[in-house]
Amino acid sequence: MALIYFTSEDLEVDVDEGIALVDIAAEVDCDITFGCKSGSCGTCRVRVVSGMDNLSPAATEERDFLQGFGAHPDERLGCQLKINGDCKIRYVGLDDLED
Amino acid sequence: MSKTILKSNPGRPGISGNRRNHPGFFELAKHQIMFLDGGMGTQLQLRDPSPDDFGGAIYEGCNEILCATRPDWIREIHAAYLDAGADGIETNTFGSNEIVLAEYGIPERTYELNVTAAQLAREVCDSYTARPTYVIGSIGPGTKLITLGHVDYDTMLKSYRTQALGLIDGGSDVLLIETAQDIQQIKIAIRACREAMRERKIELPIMAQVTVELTGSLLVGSDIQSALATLEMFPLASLGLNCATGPDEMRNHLQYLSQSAPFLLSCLPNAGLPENVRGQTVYPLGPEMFAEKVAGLARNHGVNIVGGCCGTTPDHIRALSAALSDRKLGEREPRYENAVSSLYNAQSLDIDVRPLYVGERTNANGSKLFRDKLKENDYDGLVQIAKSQLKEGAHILDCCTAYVSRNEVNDMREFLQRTVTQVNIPIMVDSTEVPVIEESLKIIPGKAIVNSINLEDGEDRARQVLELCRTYGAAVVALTIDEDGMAKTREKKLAIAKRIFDIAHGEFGLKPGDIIFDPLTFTLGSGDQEFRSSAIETLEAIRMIKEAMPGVKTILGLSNVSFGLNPYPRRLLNSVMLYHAVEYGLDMAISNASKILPVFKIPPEERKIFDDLIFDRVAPGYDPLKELLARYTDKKATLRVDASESAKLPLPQRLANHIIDGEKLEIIPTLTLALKEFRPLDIINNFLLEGMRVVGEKFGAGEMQLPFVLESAEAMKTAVAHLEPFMDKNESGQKKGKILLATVKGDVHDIGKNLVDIILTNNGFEVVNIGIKQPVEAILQKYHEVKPDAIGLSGLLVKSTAIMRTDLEEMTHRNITVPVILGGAALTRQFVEEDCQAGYRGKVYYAADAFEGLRIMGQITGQIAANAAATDNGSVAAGRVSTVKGNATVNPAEPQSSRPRVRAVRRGSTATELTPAAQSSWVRRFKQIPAPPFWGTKVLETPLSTLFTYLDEFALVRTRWQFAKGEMSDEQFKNILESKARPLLNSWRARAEREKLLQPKAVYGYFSCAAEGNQLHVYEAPDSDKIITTFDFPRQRSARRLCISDFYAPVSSGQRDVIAMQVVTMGPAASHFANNLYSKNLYSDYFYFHGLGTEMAEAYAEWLHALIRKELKVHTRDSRNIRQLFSQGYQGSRYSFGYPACPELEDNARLFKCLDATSQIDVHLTENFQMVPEQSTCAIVAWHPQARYFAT
Repeated sequence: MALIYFTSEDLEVDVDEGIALVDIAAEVDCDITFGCKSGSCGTCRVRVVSGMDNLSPAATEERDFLQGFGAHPDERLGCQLKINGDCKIRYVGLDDLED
Repeated sequence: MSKTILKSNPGRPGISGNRRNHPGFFELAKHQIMFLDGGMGTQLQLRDPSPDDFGGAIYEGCNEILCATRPDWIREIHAAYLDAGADGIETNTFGSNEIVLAEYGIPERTYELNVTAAQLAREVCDSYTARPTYVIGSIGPGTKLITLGHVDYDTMLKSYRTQALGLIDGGSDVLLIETAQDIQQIKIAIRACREAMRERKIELPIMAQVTVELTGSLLVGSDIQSALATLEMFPLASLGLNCATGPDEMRNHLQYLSQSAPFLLSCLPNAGLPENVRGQTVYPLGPEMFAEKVAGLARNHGVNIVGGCCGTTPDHIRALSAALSDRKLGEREPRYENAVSSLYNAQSLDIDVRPLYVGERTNANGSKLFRDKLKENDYDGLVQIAKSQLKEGAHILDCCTAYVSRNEVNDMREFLQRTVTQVNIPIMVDSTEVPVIEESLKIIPGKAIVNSINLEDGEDRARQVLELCRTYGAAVVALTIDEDGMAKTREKKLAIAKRIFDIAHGEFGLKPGDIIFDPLTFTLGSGDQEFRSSAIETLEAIRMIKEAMPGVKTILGLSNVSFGLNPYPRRLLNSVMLYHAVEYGLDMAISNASKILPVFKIPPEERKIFDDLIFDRVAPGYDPLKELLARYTDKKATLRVDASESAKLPLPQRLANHIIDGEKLEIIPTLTLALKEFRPLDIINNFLLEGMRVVGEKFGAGEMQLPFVLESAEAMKTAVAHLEPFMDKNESGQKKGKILLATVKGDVHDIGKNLVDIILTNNGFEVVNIGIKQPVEAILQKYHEVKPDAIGLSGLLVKSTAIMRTDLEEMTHRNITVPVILGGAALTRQFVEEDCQAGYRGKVYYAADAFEGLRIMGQITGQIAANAAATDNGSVAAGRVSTVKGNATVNPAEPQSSRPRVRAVRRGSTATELTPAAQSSWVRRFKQIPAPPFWGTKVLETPLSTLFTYLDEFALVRTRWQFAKGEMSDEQFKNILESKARPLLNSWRARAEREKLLQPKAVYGYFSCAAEGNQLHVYEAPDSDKIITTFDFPRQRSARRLCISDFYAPVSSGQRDVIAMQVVTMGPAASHFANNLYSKNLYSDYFYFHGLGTEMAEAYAEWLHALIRKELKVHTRDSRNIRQLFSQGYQGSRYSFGYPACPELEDNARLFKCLDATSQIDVHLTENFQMVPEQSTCAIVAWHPQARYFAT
């Protein structure tokens, strides 16, 4: 069991470990937009506020994407994530406009 | 090299110059913003000069001569600019060079006019005693483009040298090479200035300014990156931009220079983009607006020197100096990435995925074809070879025309003059002859690499070549050879490299990154005792050289390592050696990229032999070279992997290997052999299908990528076709089972379904594929006709999943119970196995990919036991081309009903309030709404080459082509990208252009609009209340409560907003060609082309959106990082219908109506509102800065 906190919506979700963020988002109506769902468009970028170690590690292609993108160290592609423990997640899409 | 010269040498006046003893211009510019003047030409025009003012009608228009004939005017203008606040004034010498003045018949007055002009400016400056003022000697581009062959190198050099001498002698403080349109011309002007200064024994700072046209490049096609790469080696005091455009259009280029150029920056824009008003050229930006924009640029990008160009006046400069009165410099920390450059593009030498491939076919020593063309004087044929190198994935082109009994200088000139404008990769000049190198460098516009220097004949010769590198701006390859000959040990290689480094870097000032060491490699194929450990020495030398001299690069002439071996083992040895060399730090390889095999493709037992050979691992009774020779010498020398590799294996294994390796040509002779021993049907069922089984397994395990799977399928198809004539009728019709395949009603996506067809067909199943957009009636009619064992339904859209379910209900209604397999991107296993199964009396299966479909078919037809159909799930999508990994494994026979738990435990009540206009209050309103350049629609036919720059290669190679699938090490991934994906992309690009396979067309337009709650009304015209269509978008239920309509001004505001809409297509030719490939069983070609077309439609959409941003003038936030740009790295958003914020595909029809897309560019909508041809896409564009993707 893992607890995810979505900061933009002030939303807490309780999930079984090992479940993909894509599936969680579809279930609980949180504001993350997924594009290609295959790690190549970057629409679903999220910042991991805490709990990076509780997420599935980035595979070769995701690392490659994030590097090419010049992403923050705490940035991940939402569509590639599986949740293995507690974490706090912020969707980048809209929030970066408020910086 | 001493980077910049920042002193104006007050102590050494020129002949009549009177440089004064105040701080140099650049001593100040380093710490504060400096102001230059504005336009000269327009100021002169205001005085309405008569022919007499020019000294006669024949000189009319020669503004430069006015320095002699109307010095009073020039003084007045200079003084007006100094009064306005300029620190430096540019001499009236823009065209005062021999080439331009020759057009007026007075080239001999060049020196005198420059002296006069500089003296005039000097006089005016000297009369300003209150503050330091400076004379900036202006050197314009002239009227001839050297890169296009309008003028020769020496003529241009002399023309500029005379001008520079005049400017120096007249008392200039700075020499300014400005309005440069040709990178070769700048290099020549710099050389001329430096030679003139050396002659006068004085050093003045040199400024360079390039002119980037609206097209985004210099007149001759160079982009700003290539300009910087070309100029970075030269000792400039500053680099910048002037002319052609206003400040807005300069922003991106200036931003690049700000981030990358190791020079101070200057920026002198025009007063906006010129407009033609009643036959007069008018510049739209007044002094205040101009000042505000330029000040913004200066602050944001750390510009040191500002001023104006065409259309600017003393008032503009006054406003500018007021706007930046604190002279405070913006911050910048430039980081230059070492690069070389062609005329058009830069190639970084610091790349992540090493090595850079240097193509070697344009080399008379390495290519017979090249020699033959040379003998025939077929220079255009040589250029064709150069172009083919590009397609094979070369990053840099090694060019060598040394051939006995021919004139090498002449051949090089003829070849390069044609090549430099036709090939967009940088050139490596491969010659040891100083005259050949010099002639080449006079022709090559960008930054070349000279290959090579060594110390065989001592240091003098190396110095001669290094002098050329410094003069012309080139990097250099240095071989580790000295007076004793070629270095064989690592210590000697390092020692020679250090000695060369001391000269090249220490004496000649070349940066480490421009020095490329070749530590030499010797053949391992001779068995010569002396060279057995030579590869180890070379590898170690690479490591030691890079450690000892940080920043230097390394290169190998790779193929030497395998000299003397047969072609096939040569290729393997080269590939394995390259693999190790890159591990040791190698940066570049002279080798053809297409001839390098990824090492994972080499079977481990063979790989070991090559590893042992390279690392000299000999044991009693074991010698890798002997092993290798024994293994390969008894066979014909061949380049094919298996023909030699597997010839020893039993036939069944060889056949399976041909399938696994996708060798459709090589399999035929093996089949001929096999037919002597086996029945054709047994060959297929026992051997070939065994190969396909392994393919499926490897795919599932992530060891094999989809493109390779398709090559296997092609080989299978070829083999079966070859065997069919040998089978009796009964046999050839014998299949393992039959499936009917269709993409459901309203859905045009067929790639996934066709992949399923390919895999099933080539695994012995009969497939009846009835295509796309199939209503349930058509599917059932066909079902009754062909009586299949199963029906497979595919579809990409969310909507298609609902259609699948109703189709199943309809089948239940008609008492049909045949097993049905569903596949497609929007499906989930759970939806299929629960919701869809609930409505159907027969069995419903979910297939995540084509191989799962294959296993299910095996189960349905009783070929494999039910429990064996359980899958570990790979992902060739049935109807999906995306990769979703690692879904839970479910046995389709027993649908699993326990869903993983997802439960919202707390939801904050932070929903944003709506405004009185029923919009989200989070969205800001703007008074200023962008004005489009036109209202209504416009049709475009954009060249493919333009669109290729917007191609998302990442998405194409990884997602569409699925090269990224599976768990690969970074090394394997790089190898696949470099050896397979990139060459493929290059060749498909070239083919698409050559054969016009993609015919891009677009229609876009701007419409007046206003929002009302969730609705967005589109009006006929800005001044009309007639609504032509209304979109209705969903609103988020919580959080910010956004709706797309919020990004447009509400009706209640009384304002009208602007909405842009666009439809792009790759044209019907693309679909036609794709179908053709498919019907010819060219599966992998079909798959590649389909993916390319789809991504190119996206590229067009991205390009057009960029154009719209530019036209609405909201493009200033466009990201320079292409990955970021593709992820909304810009202001505003582009929404395609079907995505969460605007889910209704029906809106496509509304958009089509506004743009009249069907009649304008021949794109149609299906009854489910999908576009035909398939490779089309449409969108609406919002300019609002807060417009982003969001989910509802």
